[in-house]
Amino acid sequence: MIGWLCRRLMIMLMAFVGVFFLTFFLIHFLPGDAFLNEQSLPEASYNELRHHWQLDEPLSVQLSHYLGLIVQGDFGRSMVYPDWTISEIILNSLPISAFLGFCALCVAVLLGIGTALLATLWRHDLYLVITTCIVSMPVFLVGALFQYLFAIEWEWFPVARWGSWQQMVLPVMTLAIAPGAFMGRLLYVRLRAELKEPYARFVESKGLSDYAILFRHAFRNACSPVIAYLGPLTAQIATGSFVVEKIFAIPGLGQWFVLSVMSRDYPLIIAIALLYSLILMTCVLLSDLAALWINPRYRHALFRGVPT
Amino acid sequence: MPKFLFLLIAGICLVSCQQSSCPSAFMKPDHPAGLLRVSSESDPETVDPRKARNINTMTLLRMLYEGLVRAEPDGSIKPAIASSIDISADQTVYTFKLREAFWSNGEPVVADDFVYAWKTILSYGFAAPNAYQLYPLKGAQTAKEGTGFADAIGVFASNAKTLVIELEKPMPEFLQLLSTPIYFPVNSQWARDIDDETKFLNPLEVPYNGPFVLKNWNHQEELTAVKNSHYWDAENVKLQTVQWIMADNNTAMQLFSKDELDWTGSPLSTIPLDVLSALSKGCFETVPADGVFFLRVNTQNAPFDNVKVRQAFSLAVDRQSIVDYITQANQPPTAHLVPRSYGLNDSNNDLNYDPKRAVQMYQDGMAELELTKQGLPPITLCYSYNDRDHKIAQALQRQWKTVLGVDVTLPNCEMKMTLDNIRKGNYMLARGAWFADIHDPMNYLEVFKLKNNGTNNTGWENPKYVSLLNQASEAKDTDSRKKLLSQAEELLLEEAPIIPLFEGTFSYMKKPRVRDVFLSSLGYLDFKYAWIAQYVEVRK
Amino acid sequence: MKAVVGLILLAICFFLVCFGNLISPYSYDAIDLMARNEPPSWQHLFGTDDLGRDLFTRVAQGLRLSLFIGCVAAAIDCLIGVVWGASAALLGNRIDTLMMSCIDILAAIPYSILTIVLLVVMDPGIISVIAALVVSGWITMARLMRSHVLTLVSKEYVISARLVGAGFFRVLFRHVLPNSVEIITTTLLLTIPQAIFLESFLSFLGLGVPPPFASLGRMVQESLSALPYFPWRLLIPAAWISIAMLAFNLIGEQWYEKLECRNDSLT
Repeated sequence: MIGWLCRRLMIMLMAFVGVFFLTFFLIHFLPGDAFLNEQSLPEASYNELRHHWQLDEPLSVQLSHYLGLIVQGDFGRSMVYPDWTISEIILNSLPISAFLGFCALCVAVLLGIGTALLATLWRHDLYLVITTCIVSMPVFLVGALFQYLFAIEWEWFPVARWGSWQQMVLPVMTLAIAPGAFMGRLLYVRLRAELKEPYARFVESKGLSDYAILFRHAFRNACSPVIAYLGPLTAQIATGSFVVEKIFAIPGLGQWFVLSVMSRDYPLIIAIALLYSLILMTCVLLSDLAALWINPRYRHALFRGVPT
Repeated sequence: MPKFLFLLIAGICLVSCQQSSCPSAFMKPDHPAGLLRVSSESDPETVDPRKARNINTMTLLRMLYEGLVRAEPDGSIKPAIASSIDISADQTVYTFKLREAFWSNGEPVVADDFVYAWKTILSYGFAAPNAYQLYPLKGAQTAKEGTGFADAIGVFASNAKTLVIELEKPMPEFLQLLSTPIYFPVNSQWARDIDDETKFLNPLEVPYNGPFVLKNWNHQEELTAVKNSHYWDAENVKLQTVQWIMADNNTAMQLFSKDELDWTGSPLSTIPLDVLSALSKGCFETVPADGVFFLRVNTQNAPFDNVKVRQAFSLAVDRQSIVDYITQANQPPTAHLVPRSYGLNDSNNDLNYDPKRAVQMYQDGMAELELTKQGLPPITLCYSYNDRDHKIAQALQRQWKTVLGVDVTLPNCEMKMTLDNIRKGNYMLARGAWFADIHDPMNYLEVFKLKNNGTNNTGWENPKYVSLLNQASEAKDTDSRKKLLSQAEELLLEEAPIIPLFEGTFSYMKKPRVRDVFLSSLGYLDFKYAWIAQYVEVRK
Repeated sequence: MKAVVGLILLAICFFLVCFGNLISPYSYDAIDLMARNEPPSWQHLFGTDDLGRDLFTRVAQGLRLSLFIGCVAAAIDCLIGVVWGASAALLGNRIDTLMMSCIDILAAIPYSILTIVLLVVMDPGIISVIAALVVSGWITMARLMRSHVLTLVSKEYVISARLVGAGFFRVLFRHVLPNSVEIITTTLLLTIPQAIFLESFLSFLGLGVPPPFASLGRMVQESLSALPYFPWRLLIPAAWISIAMLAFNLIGEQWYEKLECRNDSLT
């Protein structure tokens, strides 16, 4: 087990490095740079700005310069906001986004699992209809509707911004509702299938109640897609957070995901890509660990080795 | 299915209880005195006046700093940090006597502050995007390009309170230029103690000499500035706190309608077009902007290398319907590059809309090029996606299809890619705009002077145009200068490397309690004289 | 019962998609600036949009585009994802690690970068839109498929098939895939709306279906600021996406249940 974990961490490190190089080359492939704007600059000023940021040097020089900075822990300054350091930008916005994302994750998981379990008990397929409707609404639509209905029309919650718990409700619910519905649906479908398996019918014939079957047996088996989905769920919440942060004026990291690429702020893009890959890979690792703990079949597959 | 219909109808009914009154009308009764809350679409880039570029940053800088002169609300330029101005007979030497003014850390404002700021901008290798605006100073351009010495720059402090500026050649609008943020001072005593890289990293500790100082700045969230007690004219500043709240345009509208903002709109953000469609004209205000929106035409590619085809496309555009129904903020349609407020060319044909003549010119042009409809290369109109340009582009696409029968495609272009394509000449038609730096028709006309100056990007250059502009800059009196510039503009419009659409306006919404916030046509918001009226009852 | 409702919904969508343009007197790109933002009425069944174009015709054309793009992108996503995920699970630990690391790297690169790269490399149009949707959409399917197949791998029939000497493809097609149907269909049916809305995100970036065509997702995204004033512009296209998704799902459920019954009767 420790061996497996160590190997896994080594591979994560290599993937991390892979992300860095790939991102670096891709962003320099994109046309345009941070200094090209609507109100164009005279040619000399533009070239001078590029020279100051070493954008006219060959890629290998820029890469080695940047690597040198990173190794010392300094990600440099933003190209668009020359007096903000990258570390400052990320350290200010990451806790907010992380908190928002974490709350949304918990709510999504609880909502999904909770509603799926309830729906399985009542065996009503209306649950499928509801989840389909929810999943077929995009995040920006849900956010706009929630903001309009709950904040503007009925005034139950504040319109936007971040700080008090009331301001947290709408953004978290907006982010959590679609992934929660997706997860609930996944779980519901798997549970329904598991309950038709021979072992479940056997246990039922022994006289155990529905609840017991559910929790002790079927759930553990049905959990695997849900847990595997935790990785993409993090990704979905991260991309969804861009929209939610825009709609509710939350100063989080999500906006930088897209804005940094659109404004070609190279140091910021690389820092965010590295950060995001760290978060994503950690989540995938955690979900794999959780799956190992819950589902013995998974354990068997991963550890006994699969004959080819 | 019935569930859906019900939800749909319920939804429509629910949201049909629309906000029929102006969002500006709703005000909560307990508004703190002296507090002004403004929305901004993005953060200012920096508090270093030497590196500023976009309009949000310049607006913040005008709150925090003050230069030698200040543009007053009535448009005149009055001395600010300078107490008196003395101009030499040949108009190349300006002598400023500075008044008793202080930085927010108690140190006095001295002439050296200006010298230090300007010389660092002009030092070779210092990344200041707007350094070119300092080129009227003698020796500035050579110093910046590295071929001259910093000592040769025409600015020095003859004593602590006297600043002398030497220009390359006489420039009547130099005082106007002096009021822009690139000419603001930086506290030299404070600056010399701190390493250049880290000076402005902590904006709360920077000394300011303007009406306000920065109290708090949470990136992407809000920025708070309070009245500067050390400001020389502090008794005329009536606001206590100015708060900028960063929010996107739709959210800003929602916040404004709930009275969590006092001001929203240009120049710091934009009012969504759907809001403009829904509200009556009296709910928002507009100020004419010193800027023009036009389409750049790439004169290097067929069929636009033929002047008749370019004019045909211009004649086929119904500008009036675009400004009436799409942009909806009282923009005057125009067929000129220079706004009509300059009085350069008072032609009556500002609409330039003549479908019949357009078809005729188009056919003539195509005949000259010997092209048929089949041989026409695909015509594209490039623009980066935003709501207004998207709608205008679709309207233009439809207009050209109905009038000329030409199919123009609108390839979706991402912003930087569009800008890069325009710069490299990889486009056929592109949406463009020019907003003046100073009130001068030359500022517009010299955009298209040379082919490769970085601002033209149409591949058009005309020697006669260049000579007219050169003569105008040498001209001795304003009348002959105006005549020369007028001829230049006529030549430009005949050759049509651009298709002008409309002049810009700034549209904004403010609560009735906000008074005396001034927005100039150059886009500068001035909060110095603003004040908040106290209302007793709430109008809903 | 479910199938009946599903079929009715699908028929309505089909009718709108095929005949919407024909029965409407307006063209989808006929701009009439004087008639903009009009609510639903007898002249304009669904109202007009911000440029005065008839929404009924636009929704019909948009539904066609959205469904086409969504279904094709989701189908390609699922194809790549299923093959990748199943292969990763079946081909042993080393290859599994390699394949999953590739996914981790691809998932970590900001999506906007990938789409702009595609925009540079390909001509704008429907193919590039589908490519942009596919480039990272298959990851979810791959991960889910891999974890599902890992649980199957320890099942009796797979182990016995391997002992007998069955090759990779035989194991894949005869044992793994039939037992993964519900996860594949569930994910497929839920990937389609995600693809539809990812396309509207693309149009925000600049890579979308070129105007005057517009997909439903784009129409929804462009009408967000109109919600308090002209709600039909937002709600009607959104409702139609939900109707189409519901139709697919109900039919898919019915089809799956039939499959299940057949499976049950076999065991």
